[in-house]
Amino acid sequence: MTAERLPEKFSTIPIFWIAGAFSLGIAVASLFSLPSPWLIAIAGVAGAAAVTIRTNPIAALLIFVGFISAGSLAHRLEIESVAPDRIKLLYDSGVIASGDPVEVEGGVRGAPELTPDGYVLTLNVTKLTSRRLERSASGRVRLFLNGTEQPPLQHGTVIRVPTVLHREEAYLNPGVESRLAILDRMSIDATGVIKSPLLIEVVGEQSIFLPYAFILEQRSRIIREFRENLSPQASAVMIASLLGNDHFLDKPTADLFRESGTYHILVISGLHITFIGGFVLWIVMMCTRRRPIQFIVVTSVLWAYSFAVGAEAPVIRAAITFTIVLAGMLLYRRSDPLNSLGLAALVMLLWRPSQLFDPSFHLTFVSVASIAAIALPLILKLQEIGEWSPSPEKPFPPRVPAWLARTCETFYWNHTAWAIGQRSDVWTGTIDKGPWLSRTAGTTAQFLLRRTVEGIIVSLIVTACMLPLTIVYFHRISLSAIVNNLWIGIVIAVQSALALMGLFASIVSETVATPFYALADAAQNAMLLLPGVLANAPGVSFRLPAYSGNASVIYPLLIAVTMAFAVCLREWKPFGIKTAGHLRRVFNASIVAFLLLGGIAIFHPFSSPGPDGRLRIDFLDVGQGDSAVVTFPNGETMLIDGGGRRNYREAETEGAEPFEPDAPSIGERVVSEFLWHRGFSRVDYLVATHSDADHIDGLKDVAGNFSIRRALAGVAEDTRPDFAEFRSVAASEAIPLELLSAGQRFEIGGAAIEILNPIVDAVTSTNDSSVVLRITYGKRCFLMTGDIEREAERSIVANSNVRCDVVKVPHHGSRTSSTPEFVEAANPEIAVVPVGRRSQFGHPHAEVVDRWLSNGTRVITTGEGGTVTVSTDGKELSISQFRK
Amino acid sequence: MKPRRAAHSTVVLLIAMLSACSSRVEYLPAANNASTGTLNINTATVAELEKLPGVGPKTADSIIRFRDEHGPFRRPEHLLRIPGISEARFAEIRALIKTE
Repeated sequence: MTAERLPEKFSTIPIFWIAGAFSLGIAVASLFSLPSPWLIAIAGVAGAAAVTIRTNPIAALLIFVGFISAGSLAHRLEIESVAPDRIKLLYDSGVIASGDPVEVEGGVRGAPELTPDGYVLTLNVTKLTSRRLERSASGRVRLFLNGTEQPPLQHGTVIRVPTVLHREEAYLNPGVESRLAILDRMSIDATGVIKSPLLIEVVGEQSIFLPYAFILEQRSRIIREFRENLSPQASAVMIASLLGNDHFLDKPTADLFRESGTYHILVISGLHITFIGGFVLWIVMMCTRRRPIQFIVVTSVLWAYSFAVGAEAPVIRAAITFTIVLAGMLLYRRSDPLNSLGLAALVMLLWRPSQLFDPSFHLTFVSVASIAAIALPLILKLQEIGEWSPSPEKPFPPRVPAWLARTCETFYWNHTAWAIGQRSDVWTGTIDKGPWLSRTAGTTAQFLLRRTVEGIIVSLIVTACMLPLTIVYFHRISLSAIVNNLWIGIVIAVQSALALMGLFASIVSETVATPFYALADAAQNAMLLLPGVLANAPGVSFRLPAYSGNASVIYPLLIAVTMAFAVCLREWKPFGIKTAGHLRRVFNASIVAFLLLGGIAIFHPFSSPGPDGRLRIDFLDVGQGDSAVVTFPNGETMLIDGGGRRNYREAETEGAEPFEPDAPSIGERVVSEFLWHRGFSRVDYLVATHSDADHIDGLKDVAGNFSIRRALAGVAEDTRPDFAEFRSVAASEAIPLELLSAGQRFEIGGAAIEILNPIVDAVTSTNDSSVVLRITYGKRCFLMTGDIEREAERSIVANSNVRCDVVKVPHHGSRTSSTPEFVEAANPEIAVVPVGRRSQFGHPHAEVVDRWLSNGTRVITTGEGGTVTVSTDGKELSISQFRK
Repeated sequence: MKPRRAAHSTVVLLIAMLSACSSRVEYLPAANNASTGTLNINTATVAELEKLPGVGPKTADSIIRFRDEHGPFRRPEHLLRIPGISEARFAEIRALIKTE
């Protein structure tokens, strides 16, 4: 028989490549939409052909093609599998209007989640009643129940409750993530509020898995225990980090974690699963040597934990990955971590293909891959270099630069082992490993030093590989993350151990538990010492824009460069006979490319649009509130108001320590995101028209995230807490604050700005003291009016010329403003009303809109179509809206 | 019994126990809307509703409008669905109303 020609090299990571092909299939599914039967046919034929010609290298290509079409098919199937009675379809197609009172019936999923203000319930809906019509429905909704009394609900309780469900877009601005996309990622169809526990009717109980209910109950009990026995900050961190409930974190603490690049520690993710799994494995290994039992026990505990903390997608991903890696280890196979990672990714994408587009998936995957593909192999190779002594497999010293060899030897050389080995060897010799080694080798100091350096290497590599992701998703760089991750990681492990020991001790007695909890509190104080110090160091943690459009290719390029580096690392054989010449070249090239591209990404030159001789105003959709970004013809920028709090509420001043929940703020999530999307890292002028929260609150976040040249305001109302906070933020960021008054004029980039209000020393309400700007460029003129009401409108019309092309309607179209005289005097072509889709005050009032319309003005609201952009070259006026 | 067999039977027993306890025994009935009051909010007129303490013309009007749009109230507690009626206000009138 003729010998079959086998392929010369088998890949050690076949599943990694297959997972890559599958992902590619999902990614391109939207681009090349072939019908499902075609995809099945392609996959089938490719697979059959590959099996038939299995020795031909083309078989590998066919396998790829097969899996690519399988990926597209999976994506298609996921979209088609949405049941027709899904709540999200009912709302998206307009059958039921968002904000309409409805009644839902369904089973409670998981235990009600405790929050500072009430409870969060997740319901698997079975029936939906709207306007006298009851229909069967499906889908998950998240309901918030006010009040701190625990509802008599458990996992599996079937309830019927009237509520108002919301499913609609909000904050429609370029660069701001769509709310519907966020809901889809969480697998939530709609959200709602239950006004009172009296409205909940218990209709029955579903049959559920009792052990699961037991675990959920224990979790709720542990949350209550921690709340009672630990300090507020320590309990918040422990509850978030160990139990997956982040509602008790206050904003300052959460922001400190974000700034130090360690927020992922507060969210249950792969890190926790690995720790817990590893810890349980360590314990089980001491009890039994039987690998199947080890595997069953560890995975049962791990999956029980994953379901207990809510079984969110990131936790499930981590559990799948750990289970597969553990299976690989325990099957006596040396599994390449990348292979296990590939299998885990494949399993997850088969389960839900749309996860490929989930930022959380990218973050998890890149961080784990960077450890599996770069950090671990690097450490292992360094260990080999440092531990080398002549042996039959490695007779020659490693071919590395002397400085590298000496450094590795410092950390890894074990002289005692060498000496012992020498005694049994036939030959003797001396080995020269550096003068200062003989003292440190083998001591605890070397062990600690080694572990620290390894930790820093892992941290450095993960931070570097995650750079494009943190820039694009978080618009943040934390260089201090490298050190903070190590420090906080160690302290939180200690703190978790103490808290858990306190928990066990409390079964015995409360007094025995107290010292453990006290130590856990102490650990909490220690935890944030280092990040607190580093946060104040300049240039260590900062916000930055990401390139959009064609220039954003730099981010995938960075990832490609790290992948090239990983490949070089795999090919690097310090004990081989000869290094391939091209390897060194690619290695050096990838390092240089990374530094170059990384530098460009960090310093983002030319990210903001250059001066184009046009004056442009973007009226942002910030819900109830105002915010407008003015870009002047010479490229300078002015932000007039920054929107306000999501839940319009006056800042609470009473109470010893008001708890500020870590809720997303409009200044950060809408206004800053828009500015970064446009490529700005600097805003020249910050204008606070007046001190109402829905105008001034967002400016504080913007002042912290961007470098501001000058802050401008009208009347300094330091008695109002929002203004006092604004002033103190400006002071701490070293931004000079100027007060404007009627009559002032200045010029920016060829545009003339005239201040029409407030009038100096006039005694008026807050609204009537709003700064009013009249911006003129060439023949076109724009009037920004803040919240002025009748009084101010009257005096402005009397004292100045308000004739303009575009007017921002004062006070969100409220009937307190837009007097007929004002409308007539302004006589604009376009009137923009910054107001949310649904205003709790009923803005804009119908009679006001009619007044503008009958003047012949076109009225546009930001709530309906999102950001309104007007721009002019001085002659023509052009207008567009984000979604219309 | 050999240790291995003991271990195996323990595992089997454990799994059997876990799968057996998969149903709840209790069945809590739907909350009872005891009709203690005299005014049927499903048939009342604006004038009758305004007689309730804390209910003015605007609130009475909202109640009627809500009733027309969304159907009769199944329970007195559903009055809380009206935006103007808070838990405190409802507590005042709870004893005076009924739904059938």
